Amino acid sequence: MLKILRSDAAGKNPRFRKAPRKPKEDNLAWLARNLPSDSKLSSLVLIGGRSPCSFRLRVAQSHLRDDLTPSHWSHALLLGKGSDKLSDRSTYEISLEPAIGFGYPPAANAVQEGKLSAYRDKQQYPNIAVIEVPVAVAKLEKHLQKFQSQRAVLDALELLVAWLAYVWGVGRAANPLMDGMGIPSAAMIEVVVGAAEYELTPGLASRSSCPEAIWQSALWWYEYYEKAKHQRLSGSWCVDHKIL
Amino acid sequence: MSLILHPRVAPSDPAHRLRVWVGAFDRTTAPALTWKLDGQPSTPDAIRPIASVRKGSLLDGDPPRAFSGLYEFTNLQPDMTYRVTAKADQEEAGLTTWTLPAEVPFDLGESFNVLLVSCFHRDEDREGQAGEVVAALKAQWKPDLTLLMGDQVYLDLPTLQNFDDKLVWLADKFERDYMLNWRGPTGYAKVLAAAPSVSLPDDHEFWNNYPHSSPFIQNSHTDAGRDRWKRASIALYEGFQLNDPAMSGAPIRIDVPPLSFCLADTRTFRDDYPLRHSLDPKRGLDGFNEWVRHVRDDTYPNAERLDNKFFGVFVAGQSLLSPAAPGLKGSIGDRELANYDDFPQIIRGLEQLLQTGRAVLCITGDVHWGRVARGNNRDGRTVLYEVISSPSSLVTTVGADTFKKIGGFFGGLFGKRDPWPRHADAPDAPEFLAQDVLGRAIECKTIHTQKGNHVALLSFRKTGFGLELYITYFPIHSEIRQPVELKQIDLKPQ
Repeated sequence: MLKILRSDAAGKNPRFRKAPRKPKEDNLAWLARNLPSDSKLSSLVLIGGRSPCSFRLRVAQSHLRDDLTPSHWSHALLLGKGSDKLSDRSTYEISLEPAIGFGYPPAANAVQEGKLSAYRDKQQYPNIAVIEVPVAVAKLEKHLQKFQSQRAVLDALELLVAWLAYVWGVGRAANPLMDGMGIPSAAMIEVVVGAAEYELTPGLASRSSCPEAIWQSALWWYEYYEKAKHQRLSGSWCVDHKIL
Repeated sequence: MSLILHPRVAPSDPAHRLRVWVGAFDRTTAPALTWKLDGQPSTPDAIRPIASVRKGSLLDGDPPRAFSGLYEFTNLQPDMTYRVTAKADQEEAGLTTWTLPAEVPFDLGESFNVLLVSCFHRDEDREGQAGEVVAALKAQWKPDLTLLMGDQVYLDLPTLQNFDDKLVWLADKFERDYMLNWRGPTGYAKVLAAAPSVSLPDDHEFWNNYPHSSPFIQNSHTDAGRDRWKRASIALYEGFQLNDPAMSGAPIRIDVPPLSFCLADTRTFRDDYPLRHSLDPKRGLDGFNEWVRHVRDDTYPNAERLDNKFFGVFVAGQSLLSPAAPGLKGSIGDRELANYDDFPQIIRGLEQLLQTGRAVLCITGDVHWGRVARGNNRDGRTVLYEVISSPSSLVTTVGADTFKKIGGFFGGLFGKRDPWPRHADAPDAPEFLAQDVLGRAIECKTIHTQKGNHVALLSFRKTGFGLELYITYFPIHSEIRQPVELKQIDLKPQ
């Protein structure tokens, strides 16, 4: 079991609501209905995938859950500035399965820029959540740029290699979360959001961040934000695939 | 060189003020000083005008001696580097130093760096390694502030020297000890020059186990002998280290939001017997309680941040975690803070901060090993961290050192060479913080231990609603130079 603090909240965050998928609705269509309306604020997307890699990631995060069941989430990504077409909306992430390969990741501290259309497929990515982070997009992008040249702050490559070894079952590679090594994309988002003066996962060490911790934060930690006089996380979610 | 400048912290507004300690040595009169700031003539405020360190009964005649003063430049910009020069007669001295940042930075790659140094015995660092290690800290490790946490001098050494029990002799000897460390340009002076500093005294600013009698120091065996030594050593402390003569006895408060430091002198005003106070009974506890209230209740101005409350950093010459020394040990070794009647009041004050949901950081030196420990409350939340950095140059222990060095040599013959044959291993933190006061409320656990001579650097960066802290130990050894970087610590409000 990983050390994660539990929120004292009696109930779930009413502003992080369940939004079931409509028939035949893919993820882009679902996002089109559920994206936060304030385009000046940042949004992040949680993804729960079905691939073997996603499965390994979801099981790895079960240590953060009271019932030790696998997480609904395997990935987190930041949305960039708006575009007329949602499918062209830019994304910032550190995926363990990048569609065009890794290239040479040290140049950008492993950060990959892509398009939201990569996550359209609801069969491949049946679980999706969008969370509005009350931080201006411009402010977040400034820190995101800096993150890419500041490996001393968080060496995302070290996380990337450790997690690849784990999900590919290399040698005796153990669950990196147990060593306080967050899942790279979530850890990157945590650092960037933190630098923009917002606390994304109050219950967990920042470097140990992962999609499950962000999910729990959005779902349960809303009273903490209000106590700290900050706007809470809000958004929508849809979980169509549970491993257990 | 007889004119020396060292940067000091201006506690009241360190982001907009620079304080400078000036020393003029081997003179019989105070020099007239002219100052420049960044090349322009300037007139700093005289916090303590330059004057003879030894005065009145500490002097016999008018010998060449040390003069010192404290001056402060005001209305400066935060986090800005300045060049200060002082001229006296035909001699000019200069230093490059900086104001503290107005706040701990948020930006990735930046940090507010606090250097921790304690326990420096010059005779064991004749090559000036401590100064070289500190002077080599560049880029992300450049210190913004140095905390000198006690035993900056060892006035009671060498152990086997016969100390004349006369006020003038003692003051002269102590002054020479200070001058050796402060004068530079090499050695400990490089530590003093590394960043604006602030000092706390520990026992060796006086004598081993001050204010109690020490079996190895004959002068301490009588009330009159201890009084003479105390008068001489306090005069020298005031001349070389005291940060604010007007505030003697009161804890020094330094705010670099969201951090608020409280440096408490738990040595100078100690009672010999009965053991009532470690803090100054007049100003110490009141000042400490006021700092607790400040951290608990006050906010710092910040337009963007709504939860702008402080995180407390308590700095003392000894560890709050150490249990009281038992009677026999206390009479031979040193008393701990827990031996004094005001200890429960200190703990009760800190307890108020432990309940704010913002972890308290305690920092100290003294013990001749390094250690990082954390304290969890009954909910399992970490409410306290303690960082110990000691020593920067281990004091000589006559007889025992020779024995240990021989042991280390023979160990080396069999492939187990100990790079620190004279140094002790750090023990684990006690199971609970101040169990006699708080019961089992705060459970302690050791995170890291550090053996050997070193300095430590605390690097703070604001993130989210709290802070992240990196602790790095820098060994001071001719062969071991690799810094020991600990895992990041999150200081998140709960």
